[in-house]
Amino acid sequence: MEDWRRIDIDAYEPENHLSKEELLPNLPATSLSEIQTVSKQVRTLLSQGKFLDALKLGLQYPPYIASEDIKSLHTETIFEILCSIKNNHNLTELSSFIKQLSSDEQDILVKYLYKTMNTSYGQKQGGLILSWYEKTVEITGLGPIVRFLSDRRTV
Amino acid sequence: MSSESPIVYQLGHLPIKDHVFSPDRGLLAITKDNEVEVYQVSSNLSVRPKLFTTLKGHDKTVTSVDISPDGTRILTCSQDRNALVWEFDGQDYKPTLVLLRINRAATVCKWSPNGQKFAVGSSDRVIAICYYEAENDWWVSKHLKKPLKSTITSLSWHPNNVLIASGSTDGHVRVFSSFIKGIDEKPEPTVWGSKLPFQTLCGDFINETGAWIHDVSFSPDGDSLGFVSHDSTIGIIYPEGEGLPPKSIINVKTEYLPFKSFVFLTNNKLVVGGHNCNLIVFEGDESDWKESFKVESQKDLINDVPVHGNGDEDDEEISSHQALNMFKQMDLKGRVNKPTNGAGGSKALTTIHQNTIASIKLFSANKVSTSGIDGKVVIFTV
Amino acid sequence: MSQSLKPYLTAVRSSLTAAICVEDFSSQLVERHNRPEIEVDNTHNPELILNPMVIARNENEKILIEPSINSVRVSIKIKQADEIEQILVHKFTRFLTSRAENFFILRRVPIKGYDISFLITNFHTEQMLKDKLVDFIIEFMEDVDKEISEMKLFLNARARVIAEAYLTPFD
Repeated sequence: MEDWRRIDIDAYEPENHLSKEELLPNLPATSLSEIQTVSKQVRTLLSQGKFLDALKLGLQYPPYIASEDIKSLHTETIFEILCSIKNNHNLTELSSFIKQLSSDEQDILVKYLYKTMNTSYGQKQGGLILSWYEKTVEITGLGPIVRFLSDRRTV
Repeated sequence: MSSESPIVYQLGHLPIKDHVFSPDRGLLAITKDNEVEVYQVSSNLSVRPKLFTTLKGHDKTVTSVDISPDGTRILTCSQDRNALVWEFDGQDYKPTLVLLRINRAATVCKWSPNGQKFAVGSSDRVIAICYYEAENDWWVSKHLKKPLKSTITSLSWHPNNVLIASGSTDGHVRVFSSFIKGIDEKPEPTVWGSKLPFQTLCGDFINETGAWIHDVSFSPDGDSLGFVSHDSTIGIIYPEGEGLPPKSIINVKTEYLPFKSFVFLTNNKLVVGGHNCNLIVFEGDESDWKESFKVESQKDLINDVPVHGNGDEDDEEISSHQALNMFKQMDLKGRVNKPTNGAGGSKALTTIHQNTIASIKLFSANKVSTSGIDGKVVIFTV
Repeated sequence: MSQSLKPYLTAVRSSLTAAICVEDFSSQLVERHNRPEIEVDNTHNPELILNPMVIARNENEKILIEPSINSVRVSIKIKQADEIEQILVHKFTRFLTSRAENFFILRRVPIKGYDISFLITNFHTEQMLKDKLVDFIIEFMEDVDKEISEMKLFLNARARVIAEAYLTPFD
């Protein structure tokens, strides 16, 4: 006889609870080519020294509904922007960048900061990400962190 | 800002998950673990309420308590899956069990504005609408089920006694009809709909982030619906009319910790509170809502590292050990804290509530009462 | 090195403050049970779990915070630069976890990839002030580094003494 103690009885009543898929927000999917285009535009802007524009562009199209590969590709793009801004400015100037972002963009920035800290390249640059984080939270307060936690639109 | 200072009742140290004052403000009922304590409140509010009786009938944590609009019946519900209606027989409160037919915890209970029905929300993904059946001398219930798929965290009645709003942990705010033949009179059409047989879903909204809804409430006129969710936002929905998308959905992002509860003071003014431990007032209309003031201010939760100390004796000589610690800190973290004192302050926050505010109720036109996990009931003037 | 400790700890503090917003929550699946949702299988109620967060100072020092509706799991990876530190951290965390009941929030088994885990439930936040809980974890993180390096110094000093003691007769 099969091991009836280990039967997952809840699986027999799928109409009673939510599945992971149902939690995903109802938003259009982002394709790989869109992300690659954004990444190219970002590089151009960075090479022209338009740092704020690059940052805003990067934060404008977060791929909420996409495969993990696409999501991590965009995370790398954001990381590139953050590094390049940090390398070309001093620490106090970061605040002025963050202040020029809208509250939605600030929320997304915090999402990417957490995401980057969970990657191996982000952890190598822990100091850089942490100084971005510190400056951001100084300006925004706890709100974006709470929204990072509770938002089903993950990056 | 508030002109009168808040009135604080410290009623033990156990969490008070819900509290309610009777309509004449003569009684106060609070939840306390598996029991409900009923206090007599003096008309002079500065006198501490006197414990009148303790309602013992549940065998698990009581989650919610409500007093009927005529003030005669107390409704309680608990994680033991039951709801009880307590009636006063001249000496003591006697419970009547409600036929809820739910298999999980009951999370919230509310009397309808006319007191003929009440609703109980549960983790069983149903809302039980309960009414009194005279022939059997029994409270029976009908279930609102679809499309609920997650725990009901909060309920709110529309002033017309038929519509009920629910918030749940899946981030949805829903408006149902709870029309029961023979009990309810046919309601006037509202912005939410006109034909309302039982279980009609009159509105289903999800907030942007999909975060848990902690509290919902109809505005006093019933024409808009507010909610607070775990993403530290406040939402207000203005419906356009039956079958139409809403006129506007306002979503106010805040920089605070999530709010647990809120109450409308007027159609254009509400007060929220929760994990941030302070009350904040918001004002607005269908074009926009904005924070207007904080009833109490909270310290900076990130950078204000607790500085315990001997209070005003700042200039006191510090011991060599403390000085060494200070030097170490400066060396290690590049910042100086005042030397911490081993004893530590018992008051960590700058607010009256030292722990999450669990529920806020309207006390009078310009007063709200709050109860918190720290065992306090406080009446604030706003 | 020590300069970057402050932003790290500030980040941990604000993240913990935001994560420890828990409430009493009875299980949706099991009748009359109240269990820490982060610790149980959540295929059937994924809505009760929030997004986990990692705060990293570098590859060797990071903290994982996994929040849910009624509990938060905090796992810390302590810096280990060489084998001696690895052994010391292992011994030290074992010493603590075997006395877990005295620490209330300590979890007996750490999460894979981390050295020590805490489990904070709504019952802890009801009894203790959240501020103090956060302080406790931050203080723990500050102290553990210090403890380990002190222990290492002692160990080295002792090794030197022993080596000298052994070598003296052959002088």
